[in-house]
Amino acid sequence: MRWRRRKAREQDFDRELRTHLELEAEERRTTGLSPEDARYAARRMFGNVTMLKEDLRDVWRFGWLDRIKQDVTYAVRTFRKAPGFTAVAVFTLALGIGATTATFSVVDSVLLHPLPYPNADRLVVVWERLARNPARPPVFDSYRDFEIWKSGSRSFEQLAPATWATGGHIVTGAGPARNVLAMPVGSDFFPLLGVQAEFGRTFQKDDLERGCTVVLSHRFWSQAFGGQRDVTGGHISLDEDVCTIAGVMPQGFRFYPDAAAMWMLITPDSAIERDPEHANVGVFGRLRPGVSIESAQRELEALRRNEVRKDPPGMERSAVVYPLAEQFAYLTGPSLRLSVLVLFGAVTFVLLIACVNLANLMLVRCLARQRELAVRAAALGSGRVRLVRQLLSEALLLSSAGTLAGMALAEGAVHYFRVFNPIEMPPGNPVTVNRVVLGFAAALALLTAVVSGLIPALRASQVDPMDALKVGGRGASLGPRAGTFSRILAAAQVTLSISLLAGAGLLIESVNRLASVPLGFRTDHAFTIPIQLPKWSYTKPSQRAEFYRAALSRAATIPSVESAAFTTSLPLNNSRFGSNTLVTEGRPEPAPSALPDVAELSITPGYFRVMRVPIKAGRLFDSRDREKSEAVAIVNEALIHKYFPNEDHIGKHIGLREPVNDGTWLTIIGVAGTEKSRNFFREMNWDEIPLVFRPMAQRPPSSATLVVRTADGQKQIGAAIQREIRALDASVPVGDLETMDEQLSRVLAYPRFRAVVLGTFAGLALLLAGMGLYGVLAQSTAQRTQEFGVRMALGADSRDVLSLVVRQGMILTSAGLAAGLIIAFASTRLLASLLYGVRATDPRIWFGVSFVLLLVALVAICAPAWRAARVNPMVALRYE
Amino acid sequence: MLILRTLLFGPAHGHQIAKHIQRTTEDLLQVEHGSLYPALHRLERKGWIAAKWEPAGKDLKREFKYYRLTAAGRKQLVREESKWKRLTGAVARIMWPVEES
Repeated sequence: MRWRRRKAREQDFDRELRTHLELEAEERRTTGLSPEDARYAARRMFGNVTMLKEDLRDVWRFGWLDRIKQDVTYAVRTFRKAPGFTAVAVFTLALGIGATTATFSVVDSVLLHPLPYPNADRLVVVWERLARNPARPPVFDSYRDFEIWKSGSRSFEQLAPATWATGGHIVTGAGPARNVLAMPVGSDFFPLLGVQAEFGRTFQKDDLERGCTVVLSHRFWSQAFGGQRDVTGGHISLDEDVCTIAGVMPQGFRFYPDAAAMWMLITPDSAIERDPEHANVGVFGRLRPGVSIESAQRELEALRRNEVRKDPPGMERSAVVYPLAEQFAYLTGPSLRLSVLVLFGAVTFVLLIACVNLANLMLVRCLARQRELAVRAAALGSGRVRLVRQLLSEALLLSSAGTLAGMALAEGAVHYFRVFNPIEMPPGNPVTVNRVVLGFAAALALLTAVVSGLIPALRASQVDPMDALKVGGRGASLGPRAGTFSRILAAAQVTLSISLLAGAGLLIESVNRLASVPLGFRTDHAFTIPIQLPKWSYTKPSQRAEFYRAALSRAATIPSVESAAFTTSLPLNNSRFGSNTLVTEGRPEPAPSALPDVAELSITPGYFRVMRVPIKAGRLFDSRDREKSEAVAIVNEALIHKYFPNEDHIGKHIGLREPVNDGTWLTIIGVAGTEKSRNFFREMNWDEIPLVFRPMAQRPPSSATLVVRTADGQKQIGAAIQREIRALDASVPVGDLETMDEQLSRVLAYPRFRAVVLGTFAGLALLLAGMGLYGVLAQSTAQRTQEFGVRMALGADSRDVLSLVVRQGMILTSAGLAAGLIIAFASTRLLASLLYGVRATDPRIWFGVSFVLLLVALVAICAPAWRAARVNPMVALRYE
Repeated sequence: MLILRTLLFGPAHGHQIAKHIQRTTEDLLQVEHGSLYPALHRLERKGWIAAKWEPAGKDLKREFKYYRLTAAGRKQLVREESKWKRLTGAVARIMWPVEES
């Protein structure tokens, strides 16, 4: 259809031009010329018919779209003729764009995408900050403060408490007894978030008079009730209470912490309302439109100041308000935001290197094609604009292909990320390749095309066609400075990649140190299983102590168990905090403002054996240490170093104060080695907390973790232990078994993920920079073949030529390296909080990465240098 | 511009337009006749002139492609003329030979 119309138009041109020529010829004939001459004259007068037709075709062509089509067709044809170049270019871009897009999808999820609640930008959380240690992470509010704010504040549309500080609740009556997280929340909690139940309903005001009411999470509901929809209005046993099920939340509803199985209404007779001063809650709010976080914070602070005249000494605190999305990320991983930003910064470097690489590749290709370009530009009259457009569309085609391949890569990476969950992500927004991410990738495609196409295009359009054709396409170059320019680009790649290498080196070294530092205990072949005793049936300490004793003797009968023990806390599950203050008999009481730094825990005697913690002095707990015998304690070396550095410590009497003080004096009977433990809020750190161990027989807790060391390290042990404990008491919930190695790798997950990803980026950067260096040198040596021939004919040997090229390459590399080191030196300071055991300025890292880079550069340089050195002067000169 | 002006006097075919321009500009604008056509086609594409194959007035055996001014073209001419009037010298002489004499 289209071509037929075109054909008709061509015939039309012909006819029109013919009539014109005939008329002109007739006119000439009347002035007395012969018919022949008249025709010629008419032709002369008329001009070039072929060119004219070409022009007419241009007029009628479908405008820019047709021209682009032509450009693209031409570009495709060019690429087909150079498959090697095309493959390298597309591959380079695919890596750059793929990595950037994948990283951006994480940035989008963590930093950009609003939480999946209406008015998410106005949702905030209120914490309190302890005045005595403002550097510490903020803490929960007291419920009393919430009540003050709720009644007095005007900054919020809604304000609701919710807390995960109360710990687990035991669910019975729906399958085996289990310990679940039931979050106490206020009745405004769901309206505040603006979410509805999937079926049933959320809380109502009149639920407050009804006793216990819960709303189930979708996950818990499908596990416990197998998806039956008639649960609403029914009941579920939670600890000793029977709770009414109001509704079930939709599958997509997420809040922090993700593990919450249900939300439980805080009622007037609940423990929280009965003791509001000591109940720890988070306060969540939706700001009124136009109210800033700062003014809300000032208001809450003033309200509190008015009502609470004085905080207890040492507990002075003030309100702090944060955006909810930011806090979700922070609670999931305190370093998450920084990590994501660092990785995104790094990946833009990779993309930049890829762009520069492509720009250089195209520049080099322009050199090779300059005769063709010159012919097109001058002889065929393409014009400069046309030439720039041609090169830009080539770049655009390459970047589109690269983006498509990169999208596949990004999709794969995101899929991997979601399936294998290398790091925990904040609740709310799963990492996906969504529309925003796709738009970002499209923008990248355009950007890379412009960056990598415009440079060579502008260069190429400066070619003087006469020059290019005259000297036969050799010796001439794209403007006098094109060679220098592409060398600068190559050096810039070195600069960018050394910065990435330095960052990656620091992070990798940090995670290595973090993972290889002796922890003071062994994680291999060790398993942990949390156990919760029902508070209502194990009221007496002796009952609890008896349970732990019986459970251990049952566990000992399992053949593969080498040793087993109970403990109230383990070093790797973020449960050790220095929240007690130590008092010593015969010493003055520490001031109330003193920071608590000691952790107390109860253990059964086998703990040190299971954990392989050495006993440095004194004795272990044994059967002598009973409920009624002398209260004893084992302390660790960290405590000795801090409190009894130069004294004999066995037999000393110590006590623990705040938050729990049972008033007993404990006699130190032994000293254990120090276990390093992990504090959630200080990710790149091993804490050495002073510990006071007490025998479980004297201080039996209501929940503890069973630690087991086995000979074979097989996970099947979990089922056997579960069986034994069920047999002992089926009402005791047994948690999920985990290996201690798993816990360790979870502790290291963020640092390791950062190091691996940044390491990958740095590797990519190195590869691309090497390719760039090689490309530039290969091109420049190819151009100088003749020169090398002359040099050799005049007596230089191949070693001279080799060193000439290597020197040229090395000057390039060193310049890039020097600039890169300066940039890296300035930028790695940002990483300071992500490092462990290594300073950002550690010279070994800097020498190391410089060495690696020089090595890669040398390989990239030697290949073209070698080729140059083997130039046969006869061939080189004859080539002309 | 010149073309539109020429067509103001009535429809014409390419050769006539070329001759007319040559005459009115007193051979000052010596252009190849061929270069007229892309301009004509461009104007046609813009919708300022319309083209049609018609038999010539006296010689019914031959058809010429006649161009005539459209309403849009007339408007365009007015617009352009007001712009051009501001220009001086040679251009003015070419455009308004009658006024000058």
